[in-house]
Amino acid sequence: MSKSNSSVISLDLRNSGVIGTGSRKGGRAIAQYGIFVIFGGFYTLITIFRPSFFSLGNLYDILIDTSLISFVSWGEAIVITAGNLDLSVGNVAGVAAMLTCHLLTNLGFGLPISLVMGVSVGGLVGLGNGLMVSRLNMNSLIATLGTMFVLIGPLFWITNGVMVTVVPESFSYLGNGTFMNIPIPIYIMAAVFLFCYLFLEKTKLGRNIQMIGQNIEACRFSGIDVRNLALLTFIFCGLLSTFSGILLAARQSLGNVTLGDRFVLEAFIASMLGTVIFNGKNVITGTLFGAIFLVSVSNGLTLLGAGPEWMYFSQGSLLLVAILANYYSKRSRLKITGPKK
Amino acid sequence: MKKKPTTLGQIINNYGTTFAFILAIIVFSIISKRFFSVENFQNILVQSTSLGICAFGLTLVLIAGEIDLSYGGLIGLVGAVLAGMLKQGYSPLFVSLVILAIGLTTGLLNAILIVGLKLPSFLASVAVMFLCMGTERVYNLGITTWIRDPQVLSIVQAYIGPVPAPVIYLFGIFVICYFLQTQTRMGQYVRALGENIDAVKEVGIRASLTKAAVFVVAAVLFTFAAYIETLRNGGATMFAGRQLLLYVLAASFLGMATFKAGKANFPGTLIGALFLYTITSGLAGLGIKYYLVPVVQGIILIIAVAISSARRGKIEQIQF
Repeated sequence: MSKSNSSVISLDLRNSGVIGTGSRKGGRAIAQYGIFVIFGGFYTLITIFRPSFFSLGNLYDILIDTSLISFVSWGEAIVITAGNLDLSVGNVAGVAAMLTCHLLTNLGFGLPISLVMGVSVGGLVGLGNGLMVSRLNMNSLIATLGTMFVLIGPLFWITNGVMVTVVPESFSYLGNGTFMNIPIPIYIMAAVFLFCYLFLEKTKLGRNIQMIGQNIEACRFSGIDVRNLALLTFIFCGLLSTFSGILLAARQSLGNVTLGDRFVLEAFIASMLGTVIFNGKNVITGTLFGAIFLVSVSNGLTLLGAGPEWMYFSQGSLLLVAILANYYSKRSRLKITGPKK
Repeated sequence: MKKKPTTLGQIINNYGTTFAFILAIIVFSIISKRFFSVENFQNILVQSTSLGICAFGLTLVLIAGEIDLSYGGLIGLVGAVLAGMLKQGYSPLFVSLVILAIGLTTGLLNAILIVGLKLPSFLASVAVMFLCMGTERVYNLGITTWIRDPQVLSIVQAYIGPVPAPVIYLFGIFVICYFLQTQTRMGQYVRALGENIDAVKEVGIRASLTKAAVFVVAAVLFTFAAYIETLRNGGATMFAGRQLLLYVLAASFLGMATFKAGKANFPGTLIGALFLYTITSGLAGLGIKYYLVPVVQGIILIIAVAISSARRGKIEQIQF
């Protein structure tokens, strides 16, 4: 897999306004705003055929579904920002949801304790993933694939694979309740968004994580603690994955072992879209848009009467759009200062 | 480069997984009486056939320094078309040609996206996987189709002497792949592509063409794996490829930790595939809970890869 070593340098030059004018800037703009144009067109078409797409009820539906995948997508986005990948997010979400439901319903624990236990699973698994990648130098793809296998054990072991129907009202309120007419998941999403955004964009730790993804060698030479930052991204990702799993279980009032399966690929697509929407910058906001796009496309297709078989086409095409945009924005960036490949 | 004397660390690095594999066979044979029997070994070999052949395809791509996950969708698509067209009464030969065409098309699509448009292979092949999954769902609407033609099924159920036919396919393809990769010039170019693509271009080898060929050949191997898998299951279930997706990755990565530490190679992949199913079969014979099997497999994968990558000295990032 090739490395684009020149990206850091060219970014600096572009930001300082030295270069990057005319047609070169045009290439980036097309890549950057092209996605918005595509989705603008898509929304317009759907609204013409199905005006109910833009009703308040449907918008809330889209936002709630977005909130479910947004947490895990942000986690994945932070890991990807640092140049790694986490395949275990789906099973982490599943284990956390099963554990929380089991503690609440079958063992009769209180809501706060169950939630804390569920979320801490993510922290532990994230720690394991992070240690494997940062201390044992394992490729994150392989390490997290191993974790994914290992987590199948606890996933089934907790209840022997039996589905849990959650009794306490307070738990399903998390997923289905409203406060001042706005659904609770949207509040949680807003809070987590703000936290992730401030962390990645406004703190030194967050900036350093972004730099690792740009050029890990340069970071090492400038004394940034590369290993611990990589570890941190995985812990973050594990914790955020559990949010998605637990919230989905709360929304269904039900915990089952296949609950987390959808998250791996959805988080992957949303965070890939997220890294290209703002041209590699502002990944957290980009990923939020990515998640909204992903959810609204399947929502729109369902409204148009397309069966579930078309969802895979739409997800595949979305991913292609994302990587094509990523490629063209990178290429126009490389053209400025990059050496000929 | 001068050859350094072999150290104990290197031996563990290169042969650790093989030792673990042999150790697993010995331990299972001692604990369970049913494990050490001809039928059981036949079973393990037959079960690992489609996994192994598919993993050979992936290994070829890994050797060339890329990755191809499109088999996750392609296997399901090929199976659906195979079962569907046989049910409609087309001749087996014609159906085989159609699915070969599907495999070639997918391989070409991969080559166009990854070599032609220079998209990152991980992402592009995941996108292709989705497109294949979508096509499969549109083709059979998620309905399971069974194959009842005994003549077609005999392709995987036949025995040649005491050896089941799939085992011959597995080892036949292994020998061909291994020979072509290590003994021919073309095979060496593929390895060179993965090692240093700039040097390959400098020498004047047509790097793009070679890489494109790698993707097409890999897709043909995936198609053949899908053919065996579908016939062995006796029909096409929804998203058959999804179940293989992770196991094929695991087999190839286990292979990377075998023989040539950190580098994909065919003998390693063969051991990896056999190892995974030996564990499945051995643990099932011990009456252990079904969900503990992936746990053991995951731990073995992690340990094997950890040993072979701990000496690398720095974090290995993934380039998107």
